[in-house]
Amino acid sequence: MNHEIEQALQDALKRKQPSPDFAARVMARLPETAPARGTVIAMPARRPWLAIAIAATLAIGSFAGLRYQQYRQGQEAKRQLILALQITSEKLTLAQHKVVGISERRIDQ
Amino acid sequence: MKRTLGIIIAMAVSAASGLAQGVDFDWSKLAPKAVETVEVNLDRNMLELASKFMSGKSGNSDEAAIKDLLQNLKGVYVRSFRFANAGEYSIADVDRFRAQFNGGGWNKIVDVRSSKAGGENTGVYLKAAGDEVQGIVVIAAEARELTVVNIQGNIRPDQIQKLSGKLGIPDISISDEAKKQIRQRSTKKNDDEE
Repeated sequence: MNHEIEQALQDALKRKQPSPDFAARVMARLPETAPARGTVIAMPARRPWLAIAIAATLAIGSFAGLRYQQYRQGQEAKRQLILALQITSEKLTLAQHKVVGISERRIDQ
Repeated sequence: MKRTLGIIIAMAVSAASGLAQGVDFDWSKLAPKAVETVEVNLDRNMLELASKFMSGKSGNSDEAAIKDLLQNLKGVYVRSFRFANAGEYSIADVDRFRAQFNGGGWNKIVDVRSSKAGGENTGVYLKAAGDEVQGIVVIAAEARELTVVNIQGNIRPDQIQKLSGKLGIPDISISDEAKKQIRQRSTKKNDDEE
């Protein structure tokens, strides 16, 4: 009895040569294109806060940069405006003094 | 085609080198000769931006006064050139520039001309429509300095005068004592003539 079982197992596990079209059939079942590599960044499901923190930092950084640029432009515009008013005021002074000077000379004559 | 393109480019350069809104002059030839150049170009958008950075609170009355003034302005443009020597610019060019303000709604407020070579010439022109001032142009041609200011919008010279002594703007008012002396001399001269 035992011998029969043993013989059956040996027959079943005996090394056999594959059929000649085995390799062709395996290759035919493979997908035609290989899957793309490195196109998906998978965040570990356990750290969603990390993704939120990075996004928030980028958003705050961009906003702060924009505000700082506006601040610089505003300060420069203010500086230019005060300079323009200084020059205008100086030149109006010049005109006023000339008119007064001419008036004084005419009165003195 | 090339000629048309050349004309368009020349017109664009001319417009850019002007002092904005119908006040044209080729400033580009003066800048290389100058030892010091000041160029201020503030259009409506830039004035609004500057206004945001000025305090409108009564605690800072200097900035509040300027902020109030800015509400009616459309543009502020300044060109100022300081030269090492006299005669670096042509007074004929300045006269051609001044000619733009003869008519066209412009009124000559001050026109002081010196007959001396290298003398100082000063002009203040004001454009008005009814009671509303539309702009002021100040031209100060000195021996070694040429300055043109174009302020567009509703502003009067006395409003600039009110800013005197604020934020580094020099005090342009004539002292009451000086005015009194002028009045006294004038009265005395009239009495003598009678």
